[in-house]
Amino acid sequence: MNAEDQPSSVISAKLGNAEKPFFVRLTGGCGFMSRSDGEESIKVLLDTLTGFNGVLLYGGTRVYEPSSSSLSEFSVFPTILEVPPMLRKINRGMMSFGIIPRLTNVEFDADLGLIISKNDENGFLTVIHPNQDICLVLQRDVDRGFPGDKYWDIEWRFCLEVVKSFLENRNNSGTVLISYNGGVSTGKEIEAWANNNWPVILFENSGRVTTEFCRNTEWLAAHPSVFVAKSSEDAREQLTLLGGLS
Amino acid sequence: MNHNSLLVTVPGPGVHLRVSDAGFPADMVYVAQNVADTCRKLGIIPSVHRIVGGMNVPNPDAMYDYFLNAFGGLNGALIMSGATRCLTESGFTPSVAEVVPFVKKFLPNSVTAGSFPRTEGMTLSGHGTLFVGSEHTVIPNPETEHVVIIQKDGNDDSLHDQWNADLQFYLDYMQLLRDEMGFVPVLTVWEGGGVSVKEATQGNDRGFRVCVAEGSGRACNNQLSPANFNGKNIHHVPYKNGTLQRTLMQAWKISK
Repeated sequence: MNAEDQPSSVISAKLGNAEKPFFVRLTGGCGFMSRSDGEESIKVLLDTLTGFNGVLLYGGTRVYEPSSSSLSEFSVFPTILEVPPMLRKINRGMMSFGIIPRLTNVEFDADLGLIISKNDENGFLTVIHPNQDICLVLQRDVDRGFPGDKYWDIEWRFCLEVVKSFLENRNNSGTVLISYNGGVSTGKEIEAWANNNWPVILFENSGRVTTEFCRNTEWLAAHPSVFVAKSSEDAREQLTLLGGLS
Repeated sequence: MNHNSLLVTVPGPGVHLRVSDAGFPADMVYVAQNVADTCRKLGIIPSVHRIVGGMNVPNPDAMYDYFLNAFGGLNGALIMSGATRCLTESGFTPSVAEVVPFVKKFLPNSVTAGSFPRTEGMTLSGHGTLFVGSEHTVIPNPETEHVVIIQKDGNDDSLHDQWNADLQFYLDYMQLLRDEMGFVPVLTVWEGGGVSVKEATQGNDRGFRVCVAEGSGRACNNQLSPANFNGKNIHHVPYKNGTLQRTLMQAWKISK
């Protein structure tokens, strides 16, 4: 859909099929992580969100890494983007909703699927994740995407609108932003949620911008809706308090 | 083409007024999900109703009596109409849009909504009343909880006199609730004119239930009579026997 359209009624209706009227927005890092860091992020977030039966908003993509021997062979690179599809298999009442800004013309590859981004330096590819309940691609119009990395912000801005409309109109609803690692866009998203006084869970040792916020005691004191989790157990406890887990 | 909707009022008690150029906004889907929650607790299938018909009915007592009996068991539905009120010197004109606040009084768990097109520039009176048009006789119905105003463009009056310009949008909304959320859509027609005939016909084409109050006047006695308008989802109910519509809706498992 075009990025300036109103949030889709059809998508809102489909999201109503989740068991619980609760939105978790998962944000954070995918780049600049080693393979082992990525695997650790998946483990922590799976432990945190097992049993969650609401709507999980996330980036909706998958990252492929080229093999060292051949640039034509790829394997899935572990990132937090693999968490929602894995959870979907065990959390029967959950729905996953991927939101993707269209940065270039989408390419189709018979093996990898729909490619939305290529990194010319390291050969990494980003594709639309094949396993999600609902996927929304945002574009300026049918002929124009959002050229340039600065447009990744479109994703979190759109999520903010979706969550705002949901909280204002849905009875007994709740939400939380869960942030793990991340860069500039993630930082802006954390600020926006905290300034709205909406709940945020930051993983303390996840790295980069999320860890920077966790160490900023002055900022934390000014934003009481932000919770710092040292572990997945901490995060689960907070998610339960917020009504996201039964 | 960019579509935009605007919540004019703040969320909270009172009327929620929204302006949209492309149908019912996503907000209204969440409103329907709240209705579905209520129905689940009550053990009934959620339903969405549009009351269709005249804006100045000649026999209002019979109309209110019909809906009192027909809708008596719908405490948990989403009930919609044209969402306007036509003011008179002594109060307001008895129209089908007034059925919505009327039934809300005895159906506190139901949610009321409605839509109308902006057919000309809206005006504010010196006392702050918002008028639908320049003649200062029609206002958004202040006793309807959610009102959607369809305007193509703030500077565009091309919907002039097109009082059915919201028709496609509210039928789309009802269909969405049926297709994606399992709602049963029902149109109930009382009296009415040419626009009412379009509403009933197009609703029937989409497979909605259509109840026609037979004998209530004008379109219901002519174009929508059993001889001219019939099919498996069309139900003609004598206008003095609203209880029969309630019985039908109980059989559809949407009413107590």
